[in-house]
Amino acid sequence: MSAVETAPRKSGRARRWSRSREARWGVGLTSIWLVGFLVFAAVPLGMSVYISFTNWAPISGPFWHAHTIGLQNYVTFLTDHVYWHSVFNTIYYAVGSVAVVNLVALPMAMLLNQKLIGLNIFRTIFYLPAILPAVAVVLVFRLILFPGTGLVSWILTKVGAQCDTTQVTCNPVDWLNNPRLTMPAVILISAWGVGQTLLIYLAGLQGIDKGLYEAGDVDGTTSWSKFRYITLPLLTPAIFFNVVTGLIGAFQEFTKLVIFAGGAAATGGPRQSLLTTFWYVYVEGFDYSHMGLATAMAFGLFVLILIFTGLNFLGQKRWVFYQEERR
Amino acid sequence: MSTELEYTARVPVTALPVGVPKTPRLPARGFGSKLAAYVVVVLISITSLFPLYWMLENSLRTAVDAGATVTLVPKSPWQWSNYSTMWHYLPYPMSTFLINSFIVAGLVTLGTVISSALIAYGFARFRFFGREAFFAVIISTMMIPYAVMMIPQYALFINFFHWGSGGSLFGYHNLRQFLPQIVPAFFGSPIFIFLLRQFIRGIPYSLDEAAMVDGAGPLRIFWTIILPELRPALAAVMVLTFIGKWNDFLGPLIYLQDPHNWTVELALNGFVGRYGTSYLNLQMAASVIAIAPIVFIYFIASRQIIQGVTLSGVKG
Repeated sequence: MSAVETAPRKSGRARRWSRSREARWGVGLTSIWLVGFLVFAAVPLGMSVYISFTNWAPISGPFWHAHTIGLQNYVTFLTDHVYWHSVFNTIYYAVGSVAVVNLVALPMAMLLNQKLIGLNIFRTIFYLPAILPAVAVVLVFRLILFPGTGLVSWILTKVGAQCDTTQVTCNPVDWLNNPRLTMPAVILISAWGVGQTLLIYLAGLQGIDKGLYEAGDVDGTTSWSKFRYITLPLLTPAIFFNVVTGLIGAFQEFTKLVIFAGGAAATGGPRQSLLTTFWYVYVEGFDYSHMGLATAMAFGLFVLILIFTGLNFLGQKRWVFYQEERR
Repeated sequence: MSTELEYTARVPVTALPVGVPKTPRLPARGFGSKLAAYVVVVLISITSLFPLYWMLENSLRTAVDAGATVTLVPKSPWQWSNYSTMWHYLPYPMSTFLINSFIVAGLVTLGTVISSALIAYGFARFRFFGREAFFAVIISTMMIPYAVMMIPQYALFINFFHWGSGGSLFGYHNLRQFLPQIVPAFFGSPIFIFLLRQFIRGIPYSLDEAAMVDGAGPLRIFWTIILPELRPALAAVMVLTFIGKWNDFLGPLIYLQDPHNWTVELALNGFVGRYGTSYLNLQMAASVIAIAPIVFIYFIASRQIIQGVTLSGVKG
């Protein structure tokens, strides 16, 4: 598959449709997306502004029959300490998982970028965890982390971790129930599925001109300085891409947290240590039928995502290095 | 945003300067460091595969043994009966949930592929006023978080379209509950529009011109020239969409209220929710069933998947 640019040229063609016919088809085909966007995204976005000013509960009828209550929903959630706790958890998970995922994926990509025999097989295996259903993945990790009898407890006991003698089983670390440990556990689980981030880094590494390293060899540079002064700067666009898209995704993680906490019925896990804003929005909306409040909270999350994405784009001038595109 | 995407897509690995001699990156790379690299790669591979083995292993244990001891092979006799017990444990047999997952993921895949290919064709082959700006808008809508869409979309589907209940077919009641997840897929997905547009631009325009000389219209060209050339890319889009929807948990959780309509992922949640931490062996057996189709597809189409992800940066 060649990705060489062969878009329609401006002149010298044998035959072409008339300009107006071409424009008609172009607009017609692309407006398929526009119709879907208007109906399933633009209209709902407008509706959500209205819903956030009402006390709509789905059971009492359609949302246009609900009472408008002004800014009360916004006041309610901004003064709710559980909401701010959920904001903390959201940032904790997003920053933690994006950091861990990228720190794991980059060395893995560099490992795969060497000339190893069986590279394709290893790449296939490395990517596999990323496409598995999160529900099943988290279920098996619950088993592996199970307090006392799980594999991790077993290993920790073997290497000499102290048991809690008040418990029946030897229970050095309770990942499932200790509110301080639940979030680190979910972050570590997300580090198991780094495949997508890994592939982006691998593509970035393979796009680096090998001649640059040879120039480094001539100058007799160490492999560390080659990484520091050649690989890393040329990889900053890939890092930036992975951080921005990773954060937007991680701010809205739901499945892993819910399943790790023990299913959709377990609101927030032990001491709500896993209750992120996205989950809180779901709980208020679909469990407690406070749709107006939930919509208002969702806008709060939107602002948080905007702030982080905006900071990323502002900060990129300081550290992201865009090479001139080579042709 | 789009500049990085284009960068990845337009500078393929094979397009590196040919004149550069292929030398290893590190000059004096000894046998030792090569060996170390292999050891690490194998260790990571084991880490990647082990949880799957552990899932399978625990699914063959007794209810008492599952998750309770650490043995690398389940004690004999292996409990194959767990699978039949699990199959009938929830209010409906597992086959119902599997069929539902196939219906939802299959129709979403169909809709996404058809619509995204047509839209991408429109962008790649027809010039019209504001085309590039319009395309940039489509790409930028990927930044809208689902969090703000979740509830108003629910309101739209339930209050306006009445897709919360009703309709029946082949013994399925409340069939309309599937529609909120399926219908929007028929209006294209930005990331795949982007991916397919890149691929269509790579197809020589002279092929279109030859067909035009024969008097073919735009749709005929799409069908006879573009689609056959696009097959590898379409395969990638299909597989990625199918896997993405199969793995989806939130969408079904919101819309598939009726247990008869649950997908496999919701059924797994049923095992967690109702039985807590007991019956871990059944949980694992159900997980094996939920994962099996994905692993099967992956080993058939891993090349297309990896290529598609690399080119589009999509979340698989």
